[in-house]
Amino acid sequence: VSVVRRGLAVLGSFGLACLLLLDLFLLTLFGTLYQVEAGLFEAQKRYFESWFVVQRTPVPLVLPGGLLCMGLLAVNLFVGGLVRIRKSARTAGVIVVHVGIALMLAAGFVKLYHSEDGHLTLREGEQGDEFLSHYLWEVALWDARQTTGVVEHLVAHEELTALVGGRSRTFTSTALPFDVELSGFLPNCEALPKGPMWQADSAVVDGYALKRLEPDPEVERNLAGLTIRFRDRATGATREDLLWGFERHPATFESGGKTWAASLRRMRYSMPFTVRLEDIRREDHPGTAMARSYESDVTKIEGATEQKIRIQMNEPLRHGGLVLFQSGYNVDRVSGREVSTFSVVRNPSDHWPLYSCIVIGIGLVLAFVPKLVRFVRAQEQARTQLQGSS
Amino acid sequence: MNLVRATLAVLALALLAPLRSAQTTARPPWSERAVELFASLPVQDGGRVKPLDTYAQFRLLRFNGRRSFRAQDGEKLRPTPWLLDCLFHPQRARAYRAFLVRDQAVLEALGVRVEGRKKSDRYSYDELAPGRDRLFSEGARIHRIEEKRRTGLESQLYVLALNLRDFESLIHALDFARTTLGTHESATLRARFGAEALRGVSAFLERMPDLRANMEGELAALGDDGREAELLVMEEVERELTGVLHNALPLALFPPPDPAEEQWLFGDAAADRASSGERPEELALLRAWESLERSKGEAAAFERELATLHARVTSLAERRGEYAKVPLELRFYRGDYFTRALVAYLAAFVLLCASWLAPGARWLVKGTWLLTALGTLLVVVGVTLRCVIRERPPVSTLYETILFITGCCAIVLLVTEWIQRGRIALGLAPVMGAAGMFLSMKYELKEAALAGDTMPSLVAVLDTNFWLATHVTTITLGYAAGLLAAALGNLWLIGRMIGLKKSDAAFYKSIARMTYGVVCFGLIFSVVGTILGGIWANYSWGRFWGWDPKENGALLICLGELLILHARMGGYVRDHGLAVLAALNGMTVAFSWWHVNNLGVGLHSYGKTEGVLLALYTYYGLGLALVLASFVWRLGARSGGPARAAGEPGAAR
Repeated sequence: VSVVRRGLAVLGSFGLACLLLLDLFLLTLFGTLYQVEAGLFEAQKRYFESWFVVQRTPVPLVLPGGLLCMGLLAVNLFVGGLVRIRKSARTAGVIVVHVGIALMLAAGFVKLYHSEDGHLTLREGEQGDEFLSHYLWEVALWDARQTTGVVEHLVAHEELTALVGGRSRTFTSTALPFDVELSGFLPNCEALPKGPMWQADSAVVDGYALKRLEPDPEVERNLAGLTIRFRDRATGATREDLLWGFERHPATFESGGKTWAASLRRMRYSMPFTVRLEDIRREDHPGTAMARSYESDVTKIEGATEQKIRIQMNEPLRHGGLVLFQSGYNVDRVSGREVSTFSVVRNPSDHWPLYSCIVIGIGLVLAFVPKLVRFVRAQEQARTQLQGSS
Repeated sequence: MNLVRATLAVLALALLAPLRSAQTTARPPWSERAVELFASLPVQDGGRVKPLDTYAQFRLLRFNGRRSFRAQDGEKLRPTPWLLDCLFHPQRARAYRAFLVRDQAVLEALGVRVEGRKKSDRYSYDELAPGRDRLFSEGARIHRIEEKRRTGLESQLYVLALNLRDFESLIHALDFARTTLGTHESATLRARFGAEALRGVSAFLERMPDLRANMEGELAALGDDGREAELLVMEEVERELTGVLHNALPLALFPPPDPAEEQWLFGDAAADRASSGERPEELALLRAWESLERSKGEAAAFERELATLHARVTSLAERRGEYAKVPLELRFYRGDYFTRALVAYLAAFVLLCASWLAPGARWLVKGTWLLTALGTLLVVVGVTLRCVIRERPPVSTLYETILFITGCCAIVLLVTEWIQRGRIALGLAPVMGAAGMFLSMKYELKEAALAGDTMPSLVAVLDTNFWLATHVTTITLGYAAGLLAAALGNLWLIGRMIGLKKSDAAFYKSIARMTYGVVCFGLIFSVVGTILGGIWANYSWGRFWGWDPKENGALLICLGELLILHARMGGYVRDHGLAVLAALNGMTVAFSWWHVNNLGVGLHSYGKTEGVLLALYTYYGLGLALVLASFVWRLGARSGGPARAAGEPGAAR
């Protein structure tokens, strides 16, 4: 029991809190500076979504990474700030603050593991009912001749990223008459005619191969690629092809009397409703090229129900667990039509930060205002005594 | 300014022949009334309607680095008279040494040699004119280079090219009023405009509908030879007209009568509309500018014509509901609240120093109180007027954060002094006030160069008074508290090390208490402000936290302050540790406030602002040196060195 008690004492101690706060401080500082050279995505992975970080300083510094640090901080906060803390009127404010912080950490946890985000880009007059991930990829296989009720067979992003460094894996489905072997996932690459001056990072297919590129600090700009090999289970016939994120036309394979298509594309998420873009407007401040507002008039279609809605900066559309934000405006050079981009987020903890902010604010006021009042009174008393004695 | 437009203008002007150099020409001094009327003319610039004086101030500030300068004949020129000279006496304006060149290497790059000048000095347009063509071609070249990849010299060349281009557009602005059209050389035009050459363009524009309707028929009735001769004259008139109208009034000084039309017109567009025969307002305004130009030699006539023009423009602006704030803005800048606040703070600081030398003189303390309160009042009035003019909460730009933080620090210090009466907060208030006002003046110049003035229009996502009032104000209060705590911490460290009031333990206890209180106060605003920022981001972009450098900066302040409080509560630090951590937290605030904007990444990246990084590194260096020195001092105190003998804390424990 004493060991448990001592363990809890350490876990809930001010000392551990200080060390973890210092660690998070250093991670945040280093992670911010690292963005300059490696971009946000890499910095996030290295410092804030890791268990440990080795910081390149003259003497390498090993720090608990963001995941470990924040996990321990949550434990420390729970044990020290909620369970072991002395419960009294004086500590009420601090306890409330800790509850608020716990709520915010929970919101962060839910967002990290249970949210989806991407974008929906529509030209005026177009409609869509799915949004695309900014940086996750998937391989989709489908019957190329089917036009309605298309069934897609998907290989998810995590399975693709496991194939980096030339690794390969065969994927099988009883619904398909063939197997596919995917290999050599490249997070950022370019498909080029294979020449003598460069080493191919993939198979060479029809004179083309994939060339590895350094990952772009803006992770949305990366174009992934890999090699696909189809193998007909009945005939043993094979075909090799390249899949590249920028390619508009899918790779095809004849099997079981059908033509099958395969494509590497941004991961798609279905929405429980359809959005049609009726009109988008950009207004500039008069006499300048600086945008004052962007407004999209959309129709939300759900079954037979249609509803006209305006989405604009700071005023998103919230419906069906999704939030659609106005995030981009463009003009299609080919058609001349205006294009609107909506950021789409599914986040079960959408409003939790607001609730935690209110709780923390109340807690801080409860914790510090009485201190201030006591301080002012003490000063008044001291002055009165001083005047009396003089 | 639209960069594409800027480049085109640089290129277009590069094609023009350089202006002839000329000697400074004399002119009668501008009357007060003329300056007043001209200063309060409304102009649409940077997306809002402002007084012409504001435009002139920031244009001159950008060219010259100051709002006033002295001409070679000794006359002190302020912005509006300078702008009047640019428009009405261009030959004189060209001779003013109004262009600041920070490094002579710029002139060397242009092949310009001016003897007897300092490395950083001011030059006239006439002095720079020999290098003009090369400057504009360099400007066009540098424009294609990404801003953060430009060398220091390239940046300076580019700024000078833009300044010279803008200046040229000003001195050509009234060419349309000064020009003469050879209408008397064509029989067809002579019949309409008389036997003399036509001065100005408004009369010609007025008859354009008639010319469009009848000219073709009249020319057809002439014989071939006659028609040919008429056409030659008309081509010449058209060329002259097109040339002067192209440069006509490059300021949006023509409010459209239709309120639905948001954009005010520049001179060329106004002339275009005036020629339609259906826009009498624009025609009348062009005519008014021509009359003004013609009357410039006679002060009374000039005032009269200016009053007519002023009445016309303001009545149009009033009808559009866009004039109400113009006189207020004029009064705001005339009030010069922040310079006066600086003077008040500096005077308070002088009295404070005197009060240290003569501790018994209570009037010196009262004077410090009064002057500090006056300085703070001036800051508050200035910030409030800015809020009224902009119809915005107090903070929406980096410049405004300086004013707000300074005002808040001074108010908190005065309130603390009111409660504590220890003269510690009173001693710090004028120092922080003066430092803040000085910084605001330095940064005003940067903002003038970046955004045109210090009340710029806001991009779409920032155009929300609710979030500006809540998140931005709160987080800025957090910055203010962090800096205040750092100032107190530094005061503690410096005081201890130099032996100030070394026998007065209560003095240092008091500073430590104040530091702790301010950190607590700061934590409330930093935490709430940071979370509100996340909520704004969540409601605007769909993510509460994105590890953006500015968000991280705010988080660093929260973590730093939480660390201070936990370390204090856990007993890991006492007064010295508290002072050290508060001083270090000041660097975190500086990092969050300024440094992250200069990293070149993230949503709050404003590009590298010249001089900011150097100032920051200096602050970090001095701050760290002070902290290290305090540890050395403390070791000395503990080992029984001189500090112990002097009754320092090492001796006390």
